[in-house]
Amino acid sequence: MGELKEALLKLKACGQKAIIPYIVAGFPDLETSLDLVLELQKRGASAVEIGIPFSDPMVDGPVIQTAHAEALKNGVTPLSILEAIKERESEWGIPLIVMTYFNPVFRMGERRFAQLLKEAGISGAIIPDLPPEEAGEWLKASNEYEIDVVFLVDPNTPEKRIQKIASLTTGFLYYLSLKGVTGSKIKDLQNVKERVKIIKRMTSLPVCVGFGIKERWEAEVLLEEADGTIVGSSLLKALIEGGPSQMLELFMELKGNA
Amino acid sequence: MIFGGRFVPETLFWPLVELEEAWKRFKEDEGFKNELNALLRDYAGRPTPFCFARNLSQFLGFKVYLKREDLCHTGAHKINNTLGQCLLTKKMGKRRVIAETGAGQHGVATACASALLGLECTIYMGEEDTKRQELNVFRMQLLGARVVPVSSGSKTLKDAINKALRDWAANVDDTHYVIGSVVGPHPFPEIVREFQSVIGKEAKEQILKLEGRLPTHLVACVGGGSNALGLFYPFENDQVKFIGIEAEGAATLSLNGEKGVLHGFLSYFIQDEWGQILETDAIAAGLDYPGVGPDHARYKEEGRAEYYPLKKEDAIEGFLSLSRLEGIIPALESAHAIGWLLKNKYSFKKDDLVIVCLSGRGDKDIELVRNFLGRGNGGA
Repeated sequence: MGELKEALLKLKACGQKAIIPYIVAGFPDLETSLDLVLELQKRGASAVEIGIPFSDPMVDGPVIQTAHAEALKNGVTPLSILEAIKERESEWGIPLIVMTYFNPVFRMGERRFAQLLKEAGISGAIIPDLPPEEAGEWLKASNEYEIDVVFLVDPNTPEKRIQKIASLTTGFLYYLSLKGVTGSKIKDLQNVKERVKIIKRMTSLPVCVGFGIKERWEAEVLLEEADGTIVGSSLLKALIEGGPSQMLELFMELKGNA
Repeated sequence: MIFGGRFVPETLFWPLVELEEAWKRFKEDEGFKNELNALLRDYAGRPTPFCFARNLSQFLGFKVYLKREDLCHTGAHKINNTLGQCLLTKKMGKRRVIAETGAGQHGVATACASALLGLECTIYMGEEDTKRQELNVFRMQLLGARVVPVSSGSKTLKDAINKALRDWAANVDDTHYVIGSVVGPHPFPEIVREFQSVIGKEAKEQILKLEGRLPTHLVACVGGGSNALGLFYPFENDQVKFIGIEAEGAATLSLNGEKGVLHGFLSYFIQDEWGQILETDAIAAGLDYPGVGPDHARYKEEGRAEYYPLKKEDAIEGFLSLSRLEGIIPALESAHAIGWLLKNKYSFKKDDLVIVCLSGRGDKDIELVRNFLGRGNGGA
């Protein structure tokens, strides 16, 4: 356990910041989406977050909703995605994280899901609609199969609760730069930065910021405090509008010198 | 298995804790209760009548009483909940409410309550439903609400709930989400159950006064399940059978639901083997939901209530029969309860005493029924 955390801490030790792009498995199709993981890896992604699509993606904005819906139309399932990732295991050199919603995990059973993640070589998982209070079975299963658990912290989370969340997190803390859905606009970057600073005093875990980062300069401001950034909606928007090449170009831009 | 829970993103977790605290405080608060009771009496028209369905009873061969929620202001039981939640919103110091709506009943009831209490109101409605229920969209606008069509997913109620949850996450500081049924993350199912329990409390008093005994059966339609739970809950510890009727195309408990988690709670949902939520097909928009409230899931598992599916044709039969026999045009949702009784009359005994929750009136469904019967435009 701790592969994901280790990778991020290693970067930190070298004075580097992490950039974690998000893609949706099965969008535009399964093969292309996994090719994109490889391309992102080549271009210096610190880890890649792979979305397993769900019919009702509650925390996602319109761009990612579209990608989830299209991926489902393409007929992908959690199993077909994880099997495809496993088949290409030799190609991956960075930690892979899956992001999905709780119902597909619950339906399959937490243990079975964790086992499949392990077999596919996945390091960590983010389940945004599963707060620590409901995560008992998932924590047991992820521990058993050495999958790093990533919980979310938001601008309104009280300090005591942040400590509780941090104590259960084994990967990194995912700080939400805004209240709302992925791809919204960040209103006050300085404020987000300040909050990250406070959180970092409370935990030794790496803290990465996501939701709403669209421009390099925004990432730069946040990275003055944060250990990494997660970018999703803007990349998928580029993918929808201009195909893989435009997406990868934007990734290079967002990554900057990090 | 513990149904319900709070399966929400972090952004909504803390607001739900705050809502629970406010709810605990106000539900016991005499001032709050008095204010709400006055609104229910003077504005919504409670207590609602409880009437013996003479002709229907004769036809069926046992006594049936109707709890007339169709006579509430706005024509359905939804107002019981929206008055309660909008008043709670005011007490919590929030200025805005949002709500989802399928057919528009809950949207209209929320718009009325917010107009009355001076709250800003936004209603999310699936794009498909805004077309099917155009007049209700205008009705909500007349009442000062903003109606936002939702074009994601299946463009119906389920997606309107997703969208409302997303709005709530972004605006939770000044906004309360007036959820319309006994669904959603804790404490919503409990809040809505409490506000709707007025149905069963009144019915219990009314039947004891008229018949001097408890009913043998309670029958109500179940989508999310708020009118049914409102009727059932006050009888939970009595020797009374609970019967919930689902639309065949959205028969979560009686046919094809499986345990799952959606919209913040654990219950039964209609889904595929991978946990993807499936679209439903009920003729009554209020029953067109792929899940069911956690209390109903519990009733089902404990064997406390029975749930049965009903075909569209049988619901229409219930609609027509009640219109002709009693001079009451029921909402198509409530028509499911009537239709099921008609189909199953031989499983009852002569001295059985049945209460049906007539959850809403049928004005909204007239055109749909006319089209269903093939008497639409120009067919006269």
